[in-house]
Amino acid sequence: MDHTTIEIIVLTTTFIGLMLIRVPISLCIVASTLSVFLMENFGLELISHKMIDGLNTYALLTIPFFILAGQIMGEGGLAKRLIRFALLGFGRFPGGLAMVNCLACLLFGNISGSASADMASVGTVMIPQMVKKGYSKEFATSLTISASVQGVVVPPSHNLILYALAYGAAAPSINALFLAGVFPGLVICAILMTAGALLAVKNGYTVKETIPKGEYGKIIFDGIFSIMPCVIILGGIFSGWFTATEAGAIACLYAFIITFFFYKDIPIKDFWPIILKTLRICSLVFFLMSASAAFSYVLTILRIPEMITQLLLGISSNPLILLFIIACLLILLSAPMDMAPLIMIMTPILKPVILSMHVDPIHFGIIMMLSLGIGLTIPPHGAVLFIGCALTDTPIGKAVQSMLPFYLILFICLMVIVYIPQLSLFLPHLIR
Amino acid sequence: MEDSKEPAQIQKKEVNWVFSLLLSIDKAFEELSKIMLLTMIVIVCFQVFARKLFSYTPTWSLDVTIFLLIWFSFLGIAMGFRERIHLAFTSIHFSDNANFYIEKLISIFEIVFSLILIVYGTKLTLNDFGQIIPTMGNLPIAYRTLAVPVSGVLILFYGIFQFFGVDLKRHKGLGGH
Repeated sequence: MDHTTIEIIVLTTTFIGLMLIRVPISLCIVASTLSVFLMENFGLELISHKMIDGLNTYALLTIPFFILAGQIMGEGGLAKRLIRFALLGFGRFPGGLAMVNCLACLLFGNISGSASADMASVGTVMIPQMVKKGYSKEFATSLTISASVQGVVVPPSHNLILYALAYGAAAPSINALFLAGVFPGLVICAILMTAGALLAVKNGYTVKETIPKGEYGKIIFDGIFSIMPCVIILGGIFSGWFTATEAGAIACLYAFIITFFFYKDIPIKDFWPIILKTLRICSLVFFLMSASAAFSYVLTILRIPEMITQLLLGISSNPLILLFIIACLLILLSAPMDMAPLIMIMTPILKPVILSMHVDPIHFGIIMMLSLGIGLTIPPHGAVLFIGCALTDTPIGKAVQSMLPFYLILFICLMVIVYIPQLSLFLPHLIR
Repeated sequence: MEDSKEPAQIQKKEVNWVFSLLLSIDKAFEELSKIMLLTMIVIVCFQVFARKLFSYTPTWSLDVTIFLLIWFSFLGIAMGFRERIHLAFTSIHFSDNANFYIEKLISIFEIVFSLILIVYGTKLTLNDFGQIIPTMGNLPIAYRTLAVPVSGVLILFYGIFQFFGVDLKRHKGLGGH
C-alpha cells in the first residue's frame, strides 16, 4: 500500500469512527484533517490558518443576515399572515387547505430560507387549522413536512450560500444561485399543490374555507408587506442595485422596522433573544465552514475528488444517468447525516465529476439542495420529519407511513429539476 | 427553569470569586458577539445607503466587517461548545454506562482541539504583526488572528468543566443534540 492510500484510510476511519461516537461533526472533520497533517509533516499552524481562511469571506456574512431577517419576521407572526394571504387565493377550492399549506410554506421559505423554520412556523399554525377542518393529523403533518422542503431550494436559502462557499474556485455567484432557485421553487410548489389537493379530495377532505369580503384589504396589505424582504432580495439582485450580502442587511433592517414598529405582535425586548437564536445557528455553520476549509485542502492533496470522478465515470459516462445516481446517493447520505456538513464535504468531492460531465454548477447546486432537502424528511435523521412529529405528537413510524405518497411526489419533483436544467438556468443566464 | 442567567449547577454551590469572574468574562464575550452582529448589519446598510444616496463608498467598511466577522465567528464557535449545539451524528444509541465514557472522551477531544487553537493560533498571531490593514489605521492583522487563540481559551475553559460534568449551558431550550 502506498503512502496516499494509508492516509486516505486514516482520514476516513478517523472521521467515521469519531462521528459514530457522537463527536461533533465539525470536530471530526478537524481531527481527521489533523491526522493527515501529522502524517504529511505539515506545520499545524496551517490548520488555524486554513480555519481563518474559511471564514475570511465577505459572502459568508450573507448567512447571519438572512437568518436574522428570517428569525425576526418568523417570530413576528409571519406564518399567520402568509397563511391568511394564501387562504384568500386557494381556500375556496375543495382540498384548498392542502394547497394553502404548500403555498404558505413556499412564501415562508422565501423569507426564512430554511426548511426547519418553515416546518416549525407554518406547521404550528396550519396543522391545527387543517385538523379542525376534518383533515387527518397524519395527512396534515406529512403534507407540511414535504412542503417545507421548498425552503431549502428557494432564495434566500442559506444552504445555497454554503454550497457557493464550499464550491471554492470559480464558484457560481450567490446572486445567480438565488435566482436559480426561483423557478424550481415555483414548480415544486405547483406539483405539491396539485398532488396535495388531489390526495385531499381523494381522502374526502373537501371542506372549503372562505374569508369574509371585509378582511380582503387588510390581508392583501399584510401579505404584500410580509413578502417584501423576498422582493427586496430578488429585486435588488436582479436590478444590480446591491449584492446578496447587502440585500441581507437591508432585509434585516426592513424586518426590524416592520415587525417592531408596524405589526407589533412581539415587544421590542424580544429582539435580544432573537439575536441569540441567530448566534446559535451561525455558531454551528461557521465552525463547519472553518473546519471544512482545512478538510477540502486535505481532500485535494490526497486527490480524493479525482478518484471519485474516475469511479463514477466508470459506472457510466452518460450525464443523465450519473446525475440520477448522484441525486440518489445524496438522498441516501442525507438520511443519517445533517444537511450542512454534507454540503461542505460532498461539494468539493463532486465538483470535478459535474465539471467533467459539463453540468452547470448552478443547476447542480439546485439538484443538491433538493436531494439533501428530501433527506430532511427521511428517518433516521430527518430534521424536518422530527420537528413535524414533535409538533403534532405523531409517532415517527406513522408519519413515515403517511409520508409514502409524498416521497414519491418529492422524487418526481427532483426528477423534474434534474432533467429540465432550463428551470434552474433561465433566470441566472438572463442577468449574465 | 426557563432561560437562566447563570448555569444551574453553579448557583447551588458556594461560588468563589474567581469562578464568577470567569463566568462574567464569558457572558461579556457573548454580549459582545451580539453587538458585533448588529454592528455588521449597520455597516453594510450604511454602505448601501451611502453608495446609492451620496455616491460614496466607504473604503473601510469591507475590512471592518471582515474583522468583525472573524471575531464573531470564532466567539460563536466557542459558544457552540458551551451550549453543546454543534451538529453531531446521534442516530446510534449507547447504554448509559457507555455514554458516560463517551462524554468524557468527547470533552478530551474538545480540550485537545482548544490547545491546538491556542498554541498554533498564538504562533500565527505573532507572525501576523508584520502585516497591516491600511484601511483600518494600519492596524496589524494580528488583532484579527487573535480571535483564534481567544476562542481556544474559551473552548478549553468549557471543555475542562464539561469533562468534570459541570453543565455550563446558559440558555435552556436553545435546542441542539
